[in-house]
Amino acid sequence: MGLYALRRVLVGIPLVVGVSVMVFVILHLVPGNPVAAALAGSPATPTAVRNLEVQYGLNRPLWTQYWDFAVHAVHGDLGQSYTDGQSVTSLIGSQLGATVQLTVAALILTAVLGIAGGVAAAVRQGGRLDQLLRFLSIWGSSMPQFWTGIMLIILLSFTVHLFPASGTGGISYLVLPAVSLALLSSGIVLRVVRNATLETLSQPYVTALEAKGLSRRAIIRRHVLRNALIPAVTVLGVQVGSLLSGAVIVENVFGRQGIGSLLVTAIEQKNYPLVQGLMLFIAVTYVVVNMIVDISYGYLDPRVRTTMSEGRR
Amino acid sequence: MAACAGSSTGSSSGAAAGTPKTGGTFTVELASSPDGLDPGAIGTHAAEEVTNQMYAELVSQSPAGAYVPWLATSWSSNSDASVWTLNLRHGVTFQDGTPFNAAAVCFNFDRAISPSEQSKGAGILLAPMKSCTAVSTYQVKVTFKQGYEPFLNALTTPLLGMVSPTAVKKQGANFNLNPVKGGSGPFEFVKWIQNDEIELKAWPGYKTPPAGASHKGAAYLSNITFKIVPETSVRIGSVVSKQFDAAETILPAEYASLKKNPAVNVYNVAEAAATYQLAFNTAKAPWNSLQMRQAVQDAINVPQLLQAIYFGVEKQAWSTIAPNVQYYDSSLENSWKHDSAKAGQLLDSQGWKMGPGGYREKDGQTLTLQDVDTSPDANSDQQVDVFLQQQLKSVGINVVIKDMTQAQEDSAIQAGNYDVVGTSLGLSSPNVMNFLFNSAFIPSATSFGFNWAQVNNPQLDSLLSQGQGTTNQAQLQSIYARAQQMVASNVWTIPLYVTAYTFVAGSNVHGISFEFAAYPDFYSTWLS
Repeated sequence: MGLYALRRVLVGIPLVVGVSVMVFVILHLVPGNPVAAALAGSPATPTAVRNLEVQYGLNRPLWTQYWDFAVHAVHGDLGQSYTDGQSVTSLIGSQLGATVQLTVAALILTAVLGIAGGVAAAVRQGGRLDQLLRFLSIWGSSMPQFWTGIMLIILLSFTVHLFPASGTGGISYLVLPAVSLALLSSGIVLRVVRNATLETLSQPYVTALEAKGLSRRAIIRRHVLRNALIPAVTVLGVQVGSLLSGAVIVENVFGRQGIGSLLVTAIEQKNYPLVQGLMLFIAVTYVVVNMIVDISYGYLDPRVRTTMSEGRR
Repeated sequence: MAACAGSSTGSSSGAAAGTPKTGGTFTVELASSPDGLDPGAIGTHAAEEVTNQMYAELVSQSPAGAYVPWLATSWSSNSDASVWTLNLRHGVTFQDGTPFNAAAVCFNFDRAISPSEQSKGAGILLAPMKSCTAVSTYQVKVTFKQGYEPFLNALTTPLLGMVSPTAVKKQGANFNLNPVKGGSGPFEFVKWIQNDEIELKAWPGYKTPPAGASHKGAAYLSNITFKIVPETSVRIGSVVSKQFDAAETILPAEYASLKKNPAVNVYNVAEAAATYQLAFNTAKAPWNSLQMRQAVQDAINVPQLLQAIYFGVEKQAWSTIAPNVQYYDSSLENSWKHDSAKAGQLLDSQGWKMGPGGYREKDGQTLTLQDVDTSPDANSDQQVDVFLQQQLKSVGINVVIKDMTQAQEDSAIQAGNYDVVGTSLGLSSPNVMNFLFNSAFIPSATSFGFNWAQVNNPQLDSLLSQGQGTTNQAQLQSIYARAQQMVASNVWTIPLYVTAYTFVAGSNVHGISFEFAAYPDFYSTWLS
């Protein structure tokens, strides 16, 4: 198990390096002048432009610029934002809490809604509840998040004054953005869990357990759920990525703090260090989450553990 | 600064009735996050809206556009406006107790033009400055490399709000993000939570409002909180549902229904600035030809465009500068109108004949007009692009819209990769024309200027430089009238509308005023 985890970490490293190179290259290939953006459109003199280019190191060859970025990044220094001179790590730090809050809340909602809904739909296959849940899952995963967000605001904030429309703060500020984020992902999780549950329910051993006289509830809790959870965990791991990217939109709609809204502005302004730093951070997060997902299989399903040990021999 | 700007509409006068109450926290939603709070470093409108509450300026502009004393009591210049003398108000301190005097003013000016400070807006406004000298404790002499009449107007902008030299030295580079007690205005900095909110509190020591202010002493409000809410419908809905007190920038489509809503007051303030205009790349064929540009102008039905997209909120512009900018030439009003037949004749005369595909052709080439624009946009500019595409198609011009990010648009402009681009510039002096049309400001790979029409006309350059080198009102009137007529008759740009700053506040908010350049001012604002 330890060796398996180590191998996953080692695979993650070239992945993160690859992402950082790609982001760097794409940023420099896309037309747009970061100096003009830093000057915020003021009519600057050639000298001022040159001074800034030298200060940012943009006059040096691309590979030296990347090397510098990489060396500093390894030491935890992601450079300084072009627009206001703040350090990228402290900028990410100041916004991270809000994004973590939002994605964790949305992930929990996704898991609860998706797994509970999926099992419920499978158990009542073909019934009213199943039809309703399947409709809701398609509906939830088809609606764009900004639309769901604005509708929730109009309904639950402007019309019925239940939650604040915008801002960052306690639970009340979290409900609407987390729900609009989770609706999309939970629809996907629901369908995966429903299929997996149906598949497990049709296994001969379930019939055998029923024949043994075990209650339906006990069969589902002890045997079916555990098997159906494996695909659910895989999908949830992938959903972390889409929740993070969804946060970019949702944070903007709800006027929330967060690395998503930071990223949008950074891209618009071609703020190289900030975009690079944020992308690197998101890539690392994604790799780590998927690593945790892979490792968690072993705990959920003993068969995976055995396969891993066999693979080692 | 004093009262509501003359151009503002809405029920502001009714809202000002009653005896002002002191205290309370006023929450205002901004559409974007400021790029800093140091007037010497900032360059965005969002930043100026906040700093405008924190820093006092030397001169103020009355609703009628007259220059009135603020921290400077009087000013004078030599005849070519190259040497200026400012007399300062006595007994004023900054929020940290540092005395306000000639040395402090020179510190502010020197800082704006210092290369190491990377000043954005302020540095541009004072670019021609040679030196600043403290003649006595309360008298400053400012010398320019050449005549610089726009100096007086520059002194009224939030970019030249006075900062405390002591606070700047103490905070260093951090001052832009943490300007603690660094101001001279009615409100002082409390805290800034990035991407969330900025909090200010009233400075009890404020006693120097500009001439004509509606009250003296400290501000009525005890606190102001600026919230950053980018989504327009959420921002406005939050005011209507009373979650926040006020918000900037209304969607034109919502304007009419908001005006009818008794729970809110709507403000629509014409900005004293360059108008929103379409600048041709006059360095590039075929748009280097006057007849071709005229044809485009004739093909556009501006009133229809403004009604369809802005529901009449934005008013048609006739000149490159707005009507409330000094030396505006009203003779240009109604000087052209939509005439697609004339547009067709002009294009025919230039050899562009209607082709089989509905677009005009010449020497095997289709007549295209590449229109670059930024996305996302704040003011429905993209809808304007689509409208133009439809209208110009009717005369056989193929408008190709290129939406890009701000940084990409900047590069396209620097590389000259466009036929037409929408532009406006927020400066309340007619000298704004210098930035828009002086050949020194043609964008290039090594410099970023605002002469997006790529006008390179020595006669206009010299006219605009004459405009900087005299203080004679009659002369200025004639210079700027001629300059505006030159721009109009050459169709270097097509003026579309006078930009408006829109603002909405709950009916419990009273006494909001707007400076001449349309920045809101909350000094006399109070809550009931």
